[in-house]
Amino acid sequence: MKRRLFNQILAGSVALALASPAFAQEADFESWLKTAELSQFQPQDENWDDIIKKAKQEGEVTVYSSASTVNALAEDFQKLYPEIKVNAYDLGSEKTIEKVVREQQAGIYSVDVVNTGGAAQMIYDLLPNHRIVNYVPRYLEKSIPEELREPLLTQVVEATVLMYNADTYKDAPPISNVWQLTEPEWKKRFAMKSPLGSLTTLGLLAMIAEHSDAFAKAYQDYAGKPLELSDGIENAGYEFLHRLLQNDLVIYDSGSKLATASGLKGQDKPPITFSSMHYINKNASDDYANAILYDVNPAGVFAYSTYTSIAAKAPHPNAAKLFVAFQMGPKDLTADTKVEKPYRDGKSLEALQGLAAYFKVGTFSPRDDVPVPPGGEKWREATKFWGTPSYQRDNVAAVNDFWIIETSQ
Amino acid sequence: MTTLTNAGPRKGSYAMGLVRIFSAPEKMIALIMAVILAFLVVFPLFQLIRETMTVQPYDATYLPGRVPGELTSFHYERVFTGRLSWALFYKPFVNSLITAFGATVLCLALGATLAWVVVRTNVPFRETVNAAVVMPYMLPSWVMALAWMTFFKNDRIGGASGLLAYVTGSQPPDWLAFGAVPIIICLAFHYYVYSYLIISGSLSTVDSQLEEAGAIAGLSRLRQFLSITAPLVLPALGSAVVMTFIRVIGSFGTPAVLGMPARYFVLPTQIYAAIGSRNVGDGYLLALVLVVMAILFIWINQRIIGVRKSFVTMSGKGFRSREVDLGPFRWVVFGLIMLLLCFTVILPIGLLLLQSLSKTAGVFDLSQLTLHYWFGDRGGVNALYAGVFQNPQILSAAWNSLRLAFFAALGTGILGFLIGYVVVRTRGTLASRTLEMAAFLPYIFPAVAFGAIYIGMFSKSIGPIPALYGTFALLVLIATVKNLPYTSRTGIAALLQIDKSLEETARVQGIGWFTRMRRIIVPLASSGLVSGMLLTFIGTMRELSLIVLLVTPSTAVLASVIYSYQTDDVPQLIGAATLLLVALVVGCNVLFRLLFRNTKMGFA
Repeated sequence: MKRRLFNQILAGSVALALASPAFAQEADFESWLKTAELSQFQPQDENWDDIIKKAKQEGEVTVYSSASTVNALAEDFQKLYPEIKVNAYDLGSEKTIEKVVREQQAGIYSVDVVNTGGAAQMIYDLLPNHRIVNYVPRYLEKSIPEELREPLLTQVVEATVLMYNADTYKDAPPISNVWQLTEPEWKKRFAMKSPLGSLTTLGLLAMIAEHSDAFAKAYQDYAGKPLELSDGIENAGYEFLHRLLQNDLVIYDSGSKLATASGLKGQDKPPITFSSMHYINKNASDDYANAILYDVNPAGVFAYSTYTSIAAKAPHPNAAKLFVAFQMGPKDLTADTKVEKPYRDGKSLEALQGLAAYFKVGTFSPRDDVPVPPGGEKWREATKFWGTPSYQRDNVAAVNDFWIIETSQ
Repeated sequence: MTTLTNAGPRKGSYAMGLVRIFSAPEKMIALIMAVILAFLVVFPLFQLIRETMTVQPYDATYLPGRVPGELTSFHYERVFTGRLSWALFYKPFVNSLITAFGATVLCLALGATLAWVVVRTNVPFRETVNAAVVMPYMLPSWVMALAWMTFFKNDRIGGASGLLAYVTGSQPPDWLAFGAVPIIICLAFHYYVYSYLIISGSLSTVDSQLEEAGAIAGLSRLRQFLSITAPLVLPALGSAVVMTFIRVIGSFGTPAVLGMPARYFVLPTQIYAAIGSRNVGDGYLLALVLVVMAILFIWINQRIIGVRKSFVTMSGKGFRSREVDLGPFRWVVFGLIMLLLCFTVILPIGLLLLQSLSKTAGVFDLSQLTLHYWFGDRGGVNALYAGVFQNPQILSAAWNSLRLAFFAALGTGILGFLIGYVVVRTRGTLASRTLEMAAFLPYIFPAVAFGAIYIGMFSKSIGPIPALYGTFALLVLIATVKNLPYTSRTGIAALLQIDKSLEETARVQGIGWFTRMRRIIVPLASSGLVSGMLLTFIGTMRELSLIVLLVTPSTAVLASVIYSYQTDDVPQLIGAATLLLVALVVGCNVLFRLLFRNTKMGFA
């Protein structure tokens, strides 16, 4: 499954800060940065002809990724740069991070590009401990909002969304306020993935806790009175989760089963699910009827970043830069550029480059100057909740414990 | 070796000692084995204990300012007394006890009844029945769970419906679809083979003249059984209970498949979740609980019945086993056994086959049959997944499974032989007993816990050994060590039968150690060893609990790939890949038996 994010937190940073490399290694890192022209040594004007030339000399690039899309990405890259061999590994988020850390601890520097979610670990552990370096090609700086490129470049924005069955509910979405899900009508009819072992889901829970004010207000709108918190419950976000679980929320071990559960046609009482947004694409492949609850109070879309970075002491730094640039899409792409199916072929591929593999609803480029995939028109205006990396870092352990306690009641 | 010979005795007593060791190779082997076992078995246990008592990186949010590695009782408080303890430990612990006791009792009832029927009655086709009742053991234990899901799945989890709901149109209740009941039944249908084999082995050595003596003394049938047969079989019952209980309480796959949808967590699934979210402190402590329970169980067993470990019931006098005539009931009994086989072997395999052939999961309609999930290419019926024989992931996993099982069998064979040799040759010494015990130790580690310990141990380089995390070698290593109890036991048994004099004669004639081994000992001991190796082979092919934490995409084996399809919800591929696994296990088993036709096969 895709990106099982972290879980681990400040924890790692303390540990790693203490075990952090000696000065000699720091010096090593500095000199690597200098040769690779990264970080503070990244020139104001990047000479892409030169980078491409050097990348071809390096002849190889190794990518660790949290998602299987990396395989398509690698294929597409090699269509454009057949001289450069791509070693792409789809490891899932947890293993991606773990492998980078373990290899570097063992003194092995074999990976060039690291693509994964896991804000807390990537930003508060790997980045400050010099296991990865943030790299934003200069030409992208204007078209990506600062929070999506600093301190770490977002490769794609993804989201967990509320999904319902549009076949059963043809006229209108079945709910307009998330608190309806805590009513008896939706008992046993709301499902989500277990957060134990899925960092994306854990991140979602943290996001709900973080936006407790919005959840409290939504309750007021819905019930016409202020929310009363249950015993020992900290805020409206936790209260929402608590009531969902009391309403016999069904826990799944897999995301695609969720897509089936809410999307299978011909059901009388299909559940609503918290699903990864990209499963909406199963509508086409599996003839499902999933639809996204864009207009629900307070929000039905919980967005998060999948990051990309260059690994410390990457053996092929120029190929790594080229790969990062490739996956973010080319310089001359505009919002009006016309692309046609199949996106991963011919003219469309040339126009989109690395965006082609992600050109579908549910995986959106952080750039504001690129075309939106068909069906994703609502994305830009939709109300989206974002999680703050530092909040996640400080709270996922608590959320995890909350879940363990609540599910064993 | 040459350098040592050159060193000669003149270097004083130290060198003299070395020379002495080399002239008695069993001492040197004992030393090497001791070092290996200390490192691979004893050290991990200490490691496990140590990690539960120190601050782990994950704990930073709870213990700000504490440095990882410092001593702490934090995990013990959190797991046993904190506000999380009910959720983390007590409830899963109770659940584990319920399923483990339930399954053990059911295993014992099934196994003992079958054993009695096969050994002591005139049930028809006894030989065939004897061979058939051990069949479930050839299947991975979670095959039953998958089959159960295919049949009883209800609408609690959406998507494809189960066969029962599909045919009858009504949904089976939650308690029948998920949780304790199905877990107990599925585990029992797999593990009853242990008690069957142990008890039938023991029953067949009970001379029925003893019972007849009882009859002459005026005892009723029941009294004969209670006061004569039962006590004689008791030690076997005891070991059957211990073996079954330890295996059942440590098993992961079945509770994972059938427990999660109903929030029914047991210790192994909690360990998996804790370690999966990097909370190793909690995970290891829960693992330690399982280890302690296993030890406790063995200890209790020894206290209760261990004193009278065995009885001499076989003597030079005639041995007779009286058959109980079941009369016309023999066919009824036979029918019941066939029914059991239907449930434990034919039905699960049939369901998996049906599942692998259905175009849409959950639609069991003849017009919906497809071979896509066997031979289809990507982009056919299912755009995402190619059929088993076109699927590089499955094929490479199958190859990995075979390689892993082969190397593990080879490894345990060699180690088991050497340990057996040393233990037998130094019999009576403390070293011999210690070594024998250490070789048995891996048995008490529940598989998931053992995997968890090895992750911690081998993620960094230790001395000359590089970091093995993520390598195939680590899988081989752990599979070898975990299976060591079987081969060391068969090794000891085999070598006990070879009299020391054979080797001494050869030694007097100046034949070196290696030649003695190659020409005399190994050939004589081989039949026992091969059976132990076969067990390792079969066991490793279908192992999931042990390696589920250790596999990476490149080292994935069939069992772990099937588990990942389980979470990815591709039931057809699960069916097809599981059948492939079953075919490989059965095929290799047949091949082995043909190759070593004279070998008497044991079991694990």
